Amino acid sequence: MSSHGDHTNPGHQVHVSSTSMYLTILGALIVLTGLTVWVAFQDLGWANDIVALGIAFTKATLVVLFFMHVKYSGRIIKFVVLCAVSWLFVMLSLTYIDYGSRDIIKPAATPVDAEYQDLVDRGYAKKAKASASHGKETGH
Amino acid sequence: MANGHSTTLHHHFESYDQQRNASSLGMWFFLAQEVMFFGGLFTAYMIYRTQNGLDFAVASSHLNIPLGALNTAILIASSFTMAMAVKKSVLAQRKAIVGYLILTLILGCGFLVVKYFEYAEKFEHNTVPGSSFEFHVEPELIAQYDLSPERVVTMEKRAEIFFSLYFMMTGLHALHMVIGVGIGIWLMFPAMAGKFNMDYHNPVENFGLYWHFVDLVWIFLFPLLYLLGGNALAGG
Amino acid sequence: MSAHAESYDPNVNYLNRDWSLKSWLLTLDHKRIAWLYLISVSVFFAIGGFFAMLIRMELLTPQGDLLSPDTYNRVFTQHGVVMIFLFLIPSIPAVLGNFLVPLMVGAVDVAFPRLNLLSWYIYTVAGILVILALITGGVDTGWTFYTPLSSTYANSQVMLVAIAVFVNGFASILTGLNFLVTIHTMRAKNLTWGKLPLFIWAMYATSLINVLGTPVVAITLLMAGAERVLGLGIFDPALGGDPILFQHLFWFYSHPAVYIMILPAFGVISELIAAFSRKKIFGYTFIAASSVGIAILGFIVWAHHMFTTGMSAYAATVFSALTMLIAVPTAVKVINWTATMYQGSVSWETPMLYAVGFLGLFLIGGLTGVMLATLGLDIHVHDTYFVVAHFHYVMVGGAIMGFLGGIHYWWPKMTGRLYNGSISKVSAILVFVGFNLTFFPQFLLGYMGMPRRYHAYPEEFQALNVFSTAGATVLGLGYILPAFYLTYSLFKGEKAPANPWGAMSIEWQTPSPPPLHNFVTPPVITEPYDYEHELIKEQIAELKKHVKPQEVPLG
Ligand SMILES: [Cu+2]
Repeated sequence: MSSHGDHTNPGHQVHVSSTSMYLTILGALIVLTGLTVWVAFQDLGWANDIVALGIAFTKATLVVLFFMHVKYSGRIIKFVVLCAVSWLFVMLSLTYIDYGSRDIIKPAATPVDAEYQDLVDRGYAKKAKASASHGKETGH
Repeated sequence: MANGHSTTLHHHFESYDQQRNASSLGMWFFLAQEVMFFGGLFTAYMIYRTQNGLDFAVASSHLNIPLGALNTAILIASSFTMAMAVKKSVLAQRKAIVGYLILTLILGCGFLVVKYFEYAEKFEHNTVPGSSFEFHVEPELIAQYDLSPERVVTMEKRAEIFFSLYFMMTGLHALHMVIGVGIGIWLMFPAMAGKFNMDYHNPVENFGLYWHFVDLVWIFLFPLLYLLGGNALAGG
Repeated sequence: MSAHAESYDPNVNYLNRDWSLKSWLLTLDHKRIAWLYLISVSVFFAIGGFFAMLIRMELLTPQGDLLSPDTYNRVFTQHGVVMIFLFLIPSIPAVLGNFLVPLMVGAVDVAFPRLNLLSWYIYTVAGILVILALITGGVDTGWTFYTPLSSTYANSQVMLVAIAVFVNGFASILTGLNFLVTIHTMRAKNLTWGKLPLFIWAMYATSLINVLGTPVVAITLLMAGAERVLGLGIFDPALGGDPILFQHLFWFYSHPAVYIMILPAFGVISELIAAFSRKKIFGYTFIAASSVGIAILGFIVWAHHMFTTGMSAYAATVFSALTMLIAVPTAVKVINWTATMYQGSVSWETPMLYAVGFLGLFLIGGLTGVMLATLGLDIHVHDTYFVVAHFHYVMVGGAIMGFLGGIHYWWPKMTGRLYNGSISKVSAILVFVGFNLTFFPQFLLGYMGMPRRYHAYPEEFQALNVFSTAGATVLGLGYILPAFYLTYSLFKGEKAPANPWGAMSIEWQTPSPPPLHNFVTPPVITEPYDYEHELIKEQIAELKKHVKPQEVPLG
């Protein structure tokens, strides 16, 4: 039992990054923070969210790859990072397919629908269509 | 095996290599767990945000963007000093490790102080969810978007959901910061005793990974919570 | 082993080297932590079983005469919470997994022994919180904690139990994290991934779910709890919040949690079937890959619990189809196990009885699962006893059969003692028969329309309910017997040899019970389940010289 496990592991050679590289990343992150604040006040319509998230992903990637050394880590650690990100993606996207598709197929009208309509009329429930129109309003 | 510092090698490991591998892999699995922990909140945020875009934008405009941006910068700077502390621990430069750790902790506390002022402001304006929650849509907005009185009522209710998410997300994030500061203080002792070197620096490295992770969460929280009101309200 | 060289005394093992209470409560030895867990999960199994008994007593008659409706709600909730969170989820991983993962990979201990002990303490705190909630009135939301019932309306001890489940989650996260790192970094030289026992593959898959799924239920309960206590409104329909979102997040964990319960049982069954068929397991790669496949697929099917909630019909169709996909890797396993037994020299020892019982019960549980995944049928039988019967076939018929089979199989290794073969066989048969008597009638009841979670029911359902309660009595007897004969064997049982079953994986190469650091000499690594290997032929020949109590013929 002198040698162990996965030989592609990161530790065998400890990576030391140069201070100037860390400074470069620091600079890039600060610039991107400024950029995301500035761009939030530009009217890009629906693209505002995309740009904001794109900048956030870029910043996150820089932190993960360089500050957290994943660029220099072994396969297994890259695998764990991939696992975490993809599991999160699964949770977000599969939850969204429910909410995103509620209007695509409507079940046949039932007495419950009539009751629900009554609640809507009396102001206790929101109209099913209301959500879609909010989305459009944001894009002004 | 380097027998010189065998006290830092736990008995069930064969070598420092194995100990370091296990330690950093364990930390990464822990962070994967953290991703999913915050992921639940991000999922809730995504669903409500896609359903109530304008409501969230209006509520978001009550957050303080300059303070949020300042905190982003503080956290990024602390990530830099943290990365330097890890680097110095590999190089076994005792004084530099301690120095960078202290800088990191000062920046971390700075973040928490700013956060405190932000929270205090929310309490002052009653935008803290609960029985005393109060939120009013500005008349200009009502005119601008031609909102019916019922629409204004639902908007004020959705604002409470937004602030609930805001306090859950930033609160848990701040709690992680507080824990991080605690771990950082605890790490000062072995750092000052000069325990860290090329073979044994996992505690600093893992603390660094944790700190960077907390930074990562904020990198997403800042645009999602603070910035999405900017355009909707300035552009109209 | 050179690093841990110490003089080896064959009379000293991990159990008898120190019996002080301190040496147990502060132990960092994975084998002792397995014992701590075994004792605690047994206690909670008894508590959960007590509530099951109350439920069956109440349902003996159509009138709700034994318990008030409100008490009945609390009883079935406590049954669910205790059995799922405090028994099923930790049972195989934290007991057998803790004992076996380091042994099977040829390591001295798990990667993080202190976190391992911490995990048991966290579990204990969660257990105490649940007991505290029990004493102070219990909880009545069902183990699912659906909002707005849990966040707004319930008057019971929701917070105590929710905190317990939250806390307990970190116990299983730590166990999972420990196993993942141990399997990755602590394997003996030459023990490559392709040579790992299938139990290890199953534990790896389970641990992935533990680490990636459990935090989601933690944050979900935290949100519901913040809503209840602090008045935050995240799922509150009055504000436009969506209780269905709570269900999405809850089931994102709780469906995979079914695999936290059943995957380890799959691992145990793979070991048992190979060992008692004395044959190389058929389709090693397929069984190993299907474990990981199930862990991954298990995460993309959760909304099959929500077909009738008013979720999108389109999404329901997608989730229905995805759920059926799970049948593929599961069938791969069942087919390969059957193929392994085919033309093997099968010996009907007690663990093998459990394994075969498992196959029968799990088959029924799995196939009714496919039925329930079918959108149309699910809407017909949702929230009926059909669903109750289905998940008991999977979780009791599957997971507990696997747990008991595993305990009977590794008992000689854990204790160094053999138990009585005849009684244990009788008890295995009682469990199998009692289980079917209890739960098969519930399929019929559910199909006829008897809803779950009601304490009274129409008279025409009584006959089948009486059957079910009678069966539960037999089942209960089958569960109580092992507690007696296994405890008896601890003191009076015959001494066990290192490899009493003639099995192949490397934990059988060390003495029973193992020494403190697991192996005296580095274990010999072979191809997995290579029953043609010289090493094992000698051992089997040696075994045949002795007549073991296990070989007393049945009946
Ligand atoms: Cu399910």
